[in-house]
Amino acid sequence: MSVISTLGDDLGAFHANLLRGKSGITAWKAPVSGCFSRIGGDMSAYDMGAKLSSLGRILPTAVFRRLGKLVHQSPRATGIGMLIAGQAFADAGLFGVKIRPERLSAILAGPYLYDLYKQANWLAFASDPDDSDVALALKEMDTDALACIMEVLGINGPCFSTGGACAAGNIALRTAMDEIRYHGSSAALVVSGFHELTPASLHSLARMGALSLDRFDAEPGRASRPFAADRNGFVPATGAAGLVIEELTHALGRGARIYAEVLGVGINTNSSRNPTPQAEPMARVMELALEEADVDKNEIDYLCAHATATPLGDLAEARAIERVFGARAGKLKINALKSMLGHQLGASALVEMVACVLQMRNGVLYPTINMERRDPEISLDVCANQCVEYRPDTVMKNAFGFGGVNSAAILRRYD
Amino acid sequence: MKKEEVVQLLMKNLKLVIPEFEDETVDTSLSYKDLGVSSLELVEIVAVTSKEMGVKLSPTALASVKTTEDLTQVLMAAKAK
Repeated sequence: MSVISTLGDDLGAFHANLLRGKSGITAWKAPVSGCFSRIGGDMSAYDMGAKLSSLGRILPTAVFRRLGKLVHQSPRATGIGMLIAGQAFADAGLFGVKIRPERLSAILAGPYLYDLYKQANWLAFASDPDDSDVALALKEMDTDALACIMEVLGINGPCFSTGGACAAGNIALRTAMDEIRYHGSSAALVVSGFHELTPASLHSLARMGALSLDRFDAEPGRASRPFAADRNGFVPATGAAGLVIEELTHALGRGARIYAEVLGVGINTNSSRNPTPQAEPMARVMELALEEADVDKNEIDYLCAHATATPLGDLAEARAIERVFGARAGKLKINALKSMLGHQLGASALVEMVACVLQMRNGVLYPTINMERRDPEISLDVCANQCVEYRPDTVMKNAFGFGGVNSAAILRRYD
Repeated sequence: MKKEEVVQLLMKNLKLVIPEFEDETVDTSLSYKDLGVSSLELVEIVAVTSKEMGVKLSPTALASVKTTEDLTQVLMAAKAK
């Protein structure tokens, strides 16, 4: 596993910051005049060079050399994807393991890496066509980050990206499972890059009423408040994560450290363009995940909510949880990690899945911060404001996206 | 612009695009292929260099370019126009 976020770019720091309820939300470092979005999880000043240097200590020399060269020649978001992939692959102990390269695949969770790069090039082109990147047409393709990742790692199984907006992480996870189950991969890398929106897209989200605006501009860390009575929209953020999933006998055969077992992912849609969340299909997708995973609902002992802090979304998800888990819903451990991380959009599900695994491994659940007064309509145990010592065995990770895409993944502790 | 200046510019931009050449003395008579410079890296070097020289280079002008010396000739001819 690997993560790059406002709360740390290694698993240890990421865990420690989530544990103490730290917020990764600040004022945007380069706000655009007239754009309503003023705060977010800002990674624009992230030091890729330092991260690259740190990987020099854990990557084989030839891999590190390819990584350095390609990061140097690539848009930032592509570089982040490569750093995430390299670290996840190293963390899984896959360098030096004898596997046919065509049996190692890579799935990019959400092809949303290039918005800022494209915007910069369109602006440059408008001033002088020769000012745009000569290789724009190559580097703006969803395949480019994957091609770079495959070149760095020296693997050549199937690689492609899956969409799904903010549900992209779960969808990519299911696709990676299918690569292993049905298409002969021994292991599959699931990667998300930074999903950094342009100021125009942020402005659009604000105007559509999706973002938390104004009230907490002076205290950005308090703005993201899922399940709270006074929540007023989500706070956009940046982050990326990588996971390696592997066929179980293969992992056991090589003595791999196994963090968790992926049991199944349910996916459905609302059949509606309107982004209004609906409890009914959300409940159904959780049931679908249970069926896919062949798990009884009573076995789920922790639920990592999608909970972005929009008034309608959180309420719909809470209703859906009540419908699926019945009388047990109020006792089920739940948290909303976006209270600290903000909404990392296409990367959110994968980053939060890494957090799910860390919570299972460490026997502690992270808090839902900014819970000054819980929404009286929502009677769930959301680990309000303080972490909770608790070791879940079987977790559900919800992720819902624009386009009415609903998903739920189920993971189980493996030790 | 003198030939040496163009060569110098090309060397600077070769190292900009491919930092691995930073500490090397590059033989300008060797083909880019033999130097291990990919076609993509070459067009990136050309893009930066022609911008700095203030010349507009048609993509077709690169068809016959194999070495730094070839490229220098093409750039100087474009500059002289």
